[in-house]
Amino acid sequence: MIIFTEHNSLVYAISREFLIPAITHTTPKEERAEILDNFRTGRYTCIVTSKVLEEGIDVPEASVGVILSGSGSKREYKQRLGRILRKKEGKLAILYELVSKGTTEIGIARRRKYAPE
Amino acid sequence: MLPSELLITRTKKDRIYPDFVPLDEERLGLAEELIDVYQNFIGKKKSEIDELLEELEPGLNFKRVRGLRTLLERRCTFISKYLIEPVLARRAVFEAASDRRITNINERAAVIATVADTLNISVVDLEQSLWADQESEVILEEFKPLNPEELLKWYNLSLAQTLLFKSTGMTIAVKGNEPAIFRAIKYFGLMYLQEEGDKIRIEGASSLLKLSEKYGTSLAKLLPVIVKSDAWVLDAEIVIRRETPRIYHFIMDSRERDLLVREDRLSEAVPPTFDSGIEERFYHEFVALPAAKHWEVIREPDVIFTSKGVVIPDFKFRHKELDIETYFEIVGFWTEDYINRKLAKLRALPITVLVAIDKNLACFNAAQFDLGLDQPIILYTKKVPIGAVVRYLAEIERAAITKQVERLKETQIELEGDIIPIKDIARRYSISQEAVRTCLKHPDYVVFKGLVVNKELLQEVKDKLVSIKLYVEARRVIEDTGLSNPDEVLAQLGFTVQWKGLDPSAATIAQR
Repeated sequence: MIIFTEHNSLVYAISREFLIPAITHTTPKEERAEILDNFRTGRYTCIVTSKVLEEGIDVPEASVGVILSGSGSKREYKQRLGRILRKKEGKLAILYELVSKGTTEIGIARRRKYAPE
Repeated sequence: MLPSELLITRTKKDRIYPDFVPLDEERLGLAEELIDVYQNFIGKKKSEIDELLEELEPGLNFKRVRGLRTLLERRCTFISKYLIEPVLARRAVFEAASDRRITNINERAAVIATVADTLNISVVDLEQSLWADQESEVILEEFKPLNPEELLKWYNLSLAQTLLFKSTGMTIAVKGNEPAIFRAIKYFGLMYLQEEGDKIRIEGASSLLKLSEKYGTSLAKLLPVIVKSDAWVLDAEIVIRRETPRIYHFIMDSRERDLLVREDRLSEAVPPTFDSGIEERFYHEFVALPAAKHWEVIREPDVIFTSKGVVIPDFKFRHKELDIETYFEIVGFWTEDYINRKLAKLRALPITVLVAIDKNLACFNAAQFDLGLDQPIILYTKKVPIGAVVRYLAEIERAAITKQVERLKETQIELEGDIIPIKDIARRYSISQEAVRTCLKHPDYVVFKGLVVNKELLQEVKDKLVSIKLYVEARRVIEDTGLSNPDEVLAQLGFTVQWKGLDPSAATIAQR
């Protein structure tokens, strides 16, 4: 499972609270490689990350994604989806997005949904 | 110097101005407030300081406050406090937590307790170590205080330096501090050229496309040295890249001195020791070479004025004994234009300078490039050949000795006493020991390496040695006479030492 958030502070809050390995742009290179490696081999079942994993880094596949604070960007949404959805026979992946009632997140999610391609 | 994103400027026509902070009551008050925060938060987490300062920011010039904070943080020492390496602590905790999904506080506490137990530390220490390397968790250990006025002046100097990052070159004129300026120009590896009058043109990167901020950084480093002069003017070309790059002039003179800090303590005016790796490598090899031990190599260059501008050779060699010195210049890879100007200056030099020139200079490939230098030249690739330099110095040394010997021919060296150290004679006639050894020919004396000894005394020693067999005893006899060089004396008197193994007490002497 990969948890996506918008801000680093939330990544660390989740990492502290639920003891889930965190990757941000300040994570030392070796530690980042080690975490990704352990995630690939299944030693870690879950990681939490901010924008750093969205581009250019080869991330092992995951079958569940959770977006904790989404953005209005369709491109970013697709990228996150792409992180868990890899072409593979018979693979089923699920992407959850948490949209909190009474916050701006509702508007942001709606804007993305109806934005033109 | 500040990060480029904190630079604040105004432009007007073709001029660009750094937005200096005025030293008025309001700004000094702000400076004092900021300084107090750091002063009062020693021992606290960096995140606490940042939180407090961020509350101050709204309503103020964001870049200004961030700039001041950047400078203040340079006077801080932050430390991380942990019992075990945070990376290791995290790995242990993440691994333990991975098998059991944590969904509440109790499950979390259980994992932490288990890991703390395995690592043999307390739960509190583990929690502390876990994120201790995060920037927000580091603790302010020390803050080197400064006063509000110093902070603002330091900020202004830093702002001007940051603007110079984007400079392609500048023309300066200074009064009173010229040697320091030239030395700094040299130290920072800047290309320069003296224009008419007291103007110095400091070259920027050769093209706008290749404009490197590294070069601009060197120009920026020169600023603290410039502002320390009695009077100064600078005119720098600054490239601002908007849709199309455009050049502005940054003009400033010593009338602004009161706005700028002039103390080394704050202005970071520390020159690097060497211009280039080639020079550094040469220096270290040279001082380690036994063949060069007569020569002292001086890196602090002299400033030599010529009709074509200033020359500051890279090195000066001074003979430790003879009164001779010579200069050495290493010419590295630069543009043809630069080399031509450099050669013009070297040609105009009133003194001899050994010049090492990189064979790979672009201009050598151009057809028939004429150095036209009246100076001794060593060509090199990659590395200055130290042997060639030492040979050159040995030649100078030999020439100097020959000259002294010539001079001494007319003078009769007077010798008094049985044993005379050559050092003393050399000092008396102010010539080198080598010259003394070369020209001293006296019928009554024998010249050794460090001593001149009366032949009669040597005969007395020889008479005593005839009855002696053991080497150690012979040594004692010679030394008792006041001669500090028994082996040399034995050889001179025609004795050989016969060793039996390595033990000197078993060795004997025999007459040849």
